[in-house]
Amino acid sequence: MITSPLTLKRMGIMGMNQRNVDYIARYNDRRYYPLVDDKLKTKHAAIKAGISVPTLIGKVSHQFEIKPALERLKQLNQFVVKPAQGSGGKGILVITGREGDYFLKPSGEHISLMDVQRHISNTLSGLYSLGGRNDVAMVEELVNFDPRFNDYSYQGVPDIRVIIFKGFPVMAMMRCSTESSDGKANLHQGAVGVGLSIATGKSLFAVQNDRLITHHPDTNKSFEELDIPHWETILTLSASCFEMTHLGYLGADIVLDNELGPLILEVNARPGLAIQIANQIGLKHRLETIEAMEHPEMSVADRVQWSRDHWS
Amino acid sequence: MSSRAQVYFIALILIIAGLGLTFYKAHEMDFPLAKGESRQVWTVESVVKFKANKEASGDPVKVSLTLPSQQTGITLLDEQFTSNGYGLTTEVENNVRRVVWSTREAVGPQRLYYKLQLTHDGQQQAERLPEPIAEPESGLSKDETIAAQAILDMAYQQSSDTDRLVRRIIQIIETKDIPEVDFLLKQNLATKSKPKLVKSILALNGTDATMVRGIYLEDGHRRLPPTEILAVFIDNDWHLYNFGSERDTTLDNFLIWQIGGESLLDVEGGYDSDVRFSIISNLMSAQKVAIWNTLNADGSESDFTIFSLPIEQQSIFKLILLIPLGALVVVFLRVIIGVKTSGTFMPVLIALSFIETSLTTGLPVFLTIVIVGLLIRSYLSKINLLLVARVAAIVVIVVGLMGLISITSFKLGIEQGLMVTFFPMIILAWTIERMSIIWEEEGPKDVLVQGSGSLLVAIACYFVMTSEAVKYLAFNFPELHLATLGFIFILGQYNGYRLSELFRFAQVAKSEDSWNMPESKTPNATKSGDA
Repeated sequence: MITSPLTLKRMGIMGMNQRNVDYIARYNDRRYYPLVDDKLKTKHAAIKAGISVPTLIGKVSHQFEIKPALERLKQLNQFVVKPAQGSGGKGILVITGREGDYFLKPSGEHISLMDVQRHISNTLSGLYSLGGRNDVAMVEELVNFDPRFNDYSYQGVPDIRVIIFKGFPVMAMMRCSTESSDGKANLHQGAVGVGLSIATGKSLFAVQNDRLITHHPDTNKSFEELDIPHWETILTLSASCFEMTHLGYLGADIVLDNELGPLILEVNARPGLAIQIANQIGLKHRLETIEAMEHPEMSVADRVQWSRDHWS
Repeated sequence: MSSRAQVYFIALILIIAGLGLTFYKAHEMDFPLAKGESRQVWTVESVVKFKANKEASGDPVKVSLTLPSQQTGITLLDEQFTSNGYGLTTEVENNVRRVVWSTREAVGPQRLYYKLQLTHDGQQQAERLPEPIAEPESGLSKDETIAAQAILDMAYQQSSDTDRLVRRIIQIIETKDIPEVDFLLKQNLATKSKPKLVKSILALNGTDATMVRGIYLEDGHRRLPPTEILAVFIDNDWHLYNFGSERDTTLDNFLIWQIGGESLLDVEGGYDSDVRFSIISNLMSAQKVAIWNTLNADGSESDFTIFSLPIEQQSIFKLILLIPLGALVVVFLRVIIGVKTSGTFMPVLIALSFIETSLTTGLPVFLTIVIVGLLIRSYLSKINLLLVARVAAIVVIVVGLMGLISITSFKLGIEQGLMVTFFPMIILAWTIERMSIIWEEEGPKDVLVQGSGSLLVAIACYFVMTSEAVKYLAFNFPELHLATLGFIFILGQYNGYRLSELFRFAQVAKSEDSWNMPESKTPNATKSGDA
């Protein structure tokens, strides 16, 4: 199946070259990248800006800090260990409970304190990080996912990606892992992308492997009923990432905590284009509308309202 | 928008400059744009290497090298000497030209260069060989004469005429059938010359022989020692014999450096002396050759082209100048077609190795190493190693695999397997490491996609870089690379769709037709649709 470039242009579908040349190169200053590439820095900046993030319990920067850290981890029932500069969700260790001396993973697997120690040691030596650089292990509080989403995801955690351009939310989707995506929320590996209405947070389309679907392939839950709660907060959180990161074109990844509400997981300076497939619409027209605005300097709330008024 | 205009402006200037210079060179300086309408010019470079006597710094060093003279079928166009502070004189003695370098300053390893340009019309004849001597001297001592006589007797009994006798003697010396050969070669150690030994043995038989030293004109040879051809006077004619080569010994295509004489090179005040030849051919128009021929030595100082470099560097540049085109192919395939590769310019380096090995042998060897490497690497990921250590481990494994493939294929009689050494090890190791990381992080499907993408790009680069026309233009018109740079600039500004995206977004386009999008009602869609 092939289509003509004219059709894509008319629909405003944005290609990789255009994203790189016209948006990322133009609106994202390279000196702001380190802030988003290091999750620890992102977290500190977010806290400073009053943006909700999963609570940081502690960090381990050097091998000699592992032993004392383990003493503390022994007192916890639930926590998450992740590399600050991890890529593609690698190296995230989730502990959901304890059984005697053992730690429990979400799959029910038991691991020992030694396993946790090795995991942290590997993280520090860069096993999970881009380019194998030495890294820092972050220990965070476990996000308790909103149970309403349980049926929308197989094993993994559904997260919400919002594209923010010059501070305006322009497009959103939810990414649900499936059995064929191996619990990963990566669309090109078989995860489901659900396009979300900017105005309402309700689902528009669901796509898996570039095909429209109506039900989750593993849980058989219909996507039509999907209605994201706290939608206003989600948009506000993502839109305020603009002031926090100074990036003109960014993707904010959000999870919903049962008690804390929406939390920013990470910010991406080079968000992918698959969101257009999930929404069955191109980004280009929306981006151009914002580029054509004479006075884009508005408060976060005004920007969110503006986007919700303009885009279904 | 102005930055985009700037890029287009610079790109345009680069392209115009590149094409303009090429046009100028082709028309005003008579460089032909295509191979063929030109004459082949051979450039031969000889490098004299020796070590100066260390403690004797201040003692005179004198290096004397025989130079070739004008000969039938070969026109000497130009010659240059690089003397590095040596005094330089050329002298003619008995119709033989020699260059003499001398100094009192030499310490440590020394290098002297002599470069020669010539054209060759393929009509070389051996008519310049001297009159034979009726009773040649063997120049052997008493012991040596006895040993030599033994070889001669043995060969004589096993041959019917002089031609066969000479061949048999050469055979005996090559195979060392009898111990006398070893003895004589040891005595002859100073000259290390088997042809000279044959000459001495033949002298005992009353047959005159002489040595012709020189080189075969073959493109791309580097650091060759001089070829020694033995000329034997049989039945009123000189017959030629060549050691260590199956080829018919002719003087076609042969640049005679010296006929007869003791040695090509004499060094006083130094040791470990050695002379090596590098040969390269380029094409120049007949007219250019003619101009050069008349002007000769004039103006070599102002020559600011690649041709003024030493030949060894020139042959390296023949390869280097292809790399920009490989890079252009990579940019094109990435930006316009959207081929996914692992490592941006790795395919160019792989293509360079394919040029050395040829695609048909290079591809299977490359795939074998990468696949076996991946299998071993999959074990390495079970034991936790730091990245640098892991890549280093893979380098060692790749070296092992290369050795294994070389030996196995040699034993099986597949000589192509020996080509494996042309692959840069570090590149192979990184390819394996990257592929294996992709395998772990994104699964085998992505390894297949990116691996075949890389190979596709490498093969495309290979075909572009091995095209005769491209090779010719890239080396003879390096200014064309200004245009290459311009095209890369333009491609770098391309913000249209990649071919792969026409497939990727096809489903969205299709849904537009059947669903009649509610989004199209929004005011912005119609507004920017015109833009």
